[in-house]
Amino acid sequence: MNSWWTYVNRWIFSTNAKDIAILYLLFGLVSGIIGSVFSFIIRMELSAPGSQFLSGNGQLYNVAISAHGILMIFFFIIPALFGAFGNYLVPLMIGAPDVAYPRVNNFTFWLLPPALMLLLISALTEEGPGGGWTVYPPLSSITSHSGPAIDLAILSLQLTGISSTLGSVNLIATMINMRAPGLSLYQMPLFAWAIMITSILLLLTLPVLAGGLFMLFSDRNLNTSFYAPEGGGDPVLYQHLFWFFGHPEVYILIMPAFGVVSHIIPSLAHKPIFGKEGMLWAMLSIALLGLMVWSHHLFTVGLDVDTRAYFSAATMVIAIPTGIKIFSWLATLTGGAIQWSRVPMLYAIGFLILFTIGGLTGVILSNSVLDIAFHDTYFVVAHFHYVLSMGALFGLCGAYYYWSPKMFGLMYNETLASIQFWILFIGVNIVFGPQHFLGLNGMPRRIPDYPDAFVGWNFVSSIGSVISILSLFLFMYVMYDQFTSNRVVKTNPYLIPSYFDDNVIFVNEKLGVAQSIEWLLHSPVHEHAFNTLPTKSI
Amino acid sequence: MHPHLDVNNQKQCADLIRALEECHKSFGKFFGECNTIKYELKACLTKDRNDKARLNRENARMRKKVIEENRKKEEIEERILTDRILQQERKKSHANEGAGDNNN
Repeated sequence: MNSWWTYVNRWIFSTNAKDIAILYLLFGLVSGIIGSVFSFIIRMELSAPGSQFLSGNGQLYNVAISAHGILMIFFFIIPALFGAFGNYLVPLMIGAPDVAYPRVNNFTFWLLPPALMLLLISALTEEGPGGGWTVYPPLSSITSHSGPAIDLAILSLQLTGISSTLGSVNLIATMINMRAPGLSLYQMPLFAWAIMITSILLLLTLPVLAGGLFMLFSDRNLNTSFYAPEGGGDPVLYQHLFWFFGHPEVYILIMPAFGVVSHIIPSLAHKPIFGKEGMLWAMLSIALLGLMVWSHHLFTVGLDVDTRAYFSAATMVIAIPTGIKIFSWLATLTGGAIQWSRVPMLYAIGFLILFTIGGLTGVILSNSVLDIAFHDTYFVVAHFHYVLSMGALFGLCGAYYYWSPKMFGLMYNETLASIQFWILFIGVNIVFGPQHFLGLNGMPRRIPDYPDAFVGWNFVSSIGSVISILSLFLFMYVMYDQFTSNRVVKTNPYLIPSYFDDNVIFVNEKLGVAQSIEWLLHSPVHEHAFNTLPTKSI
Repeated sequence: MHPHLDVNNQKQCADLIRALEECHKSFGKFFGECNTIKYELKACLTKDRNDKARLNRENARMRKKVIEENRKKEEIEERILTDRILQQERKKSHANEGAGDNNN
């Protein structure tokens, strides 16, 4: 067999979850870079009032906004955090040779490149899709976007939806049917549980999005009027359908990051996780509550006061299980022999601090009385970027730095990676911190211009964007250096016996780190990970 | 994004609107075949909107001018009327004063 065919056979027709995970990671990285470029364009346009780089073309700005949102959510965070780390780690953590449906796994990944192509083509047809990632009608209806751009974007989203649904079915089936002998569902590691809960959420909500988008597609192309008032429809129906998916989507993005942090902290604090069962039930509660609060995105459409009271209260309740998680992570850190300077730990601590800030502004926004004032302002933008840009992204970076030595058998330069962390930490805080002040003063979202009163903080925010992009370049260099410097990982790089490490449980558990068995395997993990299935002894 | 396309409302763009509708029937629209027409239509719609805005401004100025003129006329008429009333009242009071002197 020649090398070209071997290469094609391994990477194009692969049915190996670990190889598919690497493909997801690469795909996510490419999409993340494109999404970051769009965010940079947005920030540069907003660096000063008036038209800066987009020649006063508001539609082009809207296309950049839409592309940034869709790319980051559907093509970066989900493939990288859920697809890559879920596929690589879940089978290893539960002692399975592969996922339940390896061929479906291949198909699941290969739906994404055509979806990305459709999205990019949509930006090149006529004026591109300028409806934002939410694609609300009537802005996205045929009367305002008559070309094929929105149709192509809808088809792209449908393909990513099919991909995520199949991936979810696969991972759920794997975790239910293929656990190592003796490993009960309840005993599965928290990352595996996070992926399980994410999969359940995807499975429950994606069909609703698919239905909502199909109805929009049908309104545009088949003369139906689900969302057209002149034909008896209602645009608010779309908002309900979209956010029934859209809100759990936030938890879909953040839940795997919860799992990642739940592995990094015990590993680098040299302590077992505090309250594992509590953490698990907190994640399940967040998922359940997350399915019942979608209308807090619709407080300004004219909901009656009782409905708003319910959705405000239900949203605030989510702070309780989230608080359980935050305090359990802090309790895990308490009294541990903590390796503060290790890069995954930096990301985990960054996640804890910044996600908490994002959560607090979330509680503020959950109050419908306040949300009436803050809706569609930069306060909302700042809030969800603290949750996602610093929550999900920090979780993703933490996961990369924590598990990449396991995945590739090569260690990165920790000094450079620490510098990269600090540049990103400072950068994103400078970008999104000031946006709270802009939002509180009433600066609206999705508008490419603003009054002179907002100049100062917008300029600061754009400076932060430049700093964040520098950290992206440095991250790419760290990866390049990791793959070219031949720092071979022979043992677990995080298993450094600590002088102060007298925790009996840690010493007795030979696994040493976290609560999972992937670190017992060779780095990088062999194509066939387990020669014999592992058995849980206790 | 564009406003609701209507050949009756945007008369100067009617040909382009029809051309775009025709172009949208082809499969090539997915590969940018209608891009040029759309850009031309967008330019036309912008021009149409600007023309309408300019026309509205001119009409508004005309209306304002007419209103100003009418107001001025009304003011003059009101002043004349007021002067007349005042003159009549003055005459009346003079007449009353004259009648009083005669009585004395």
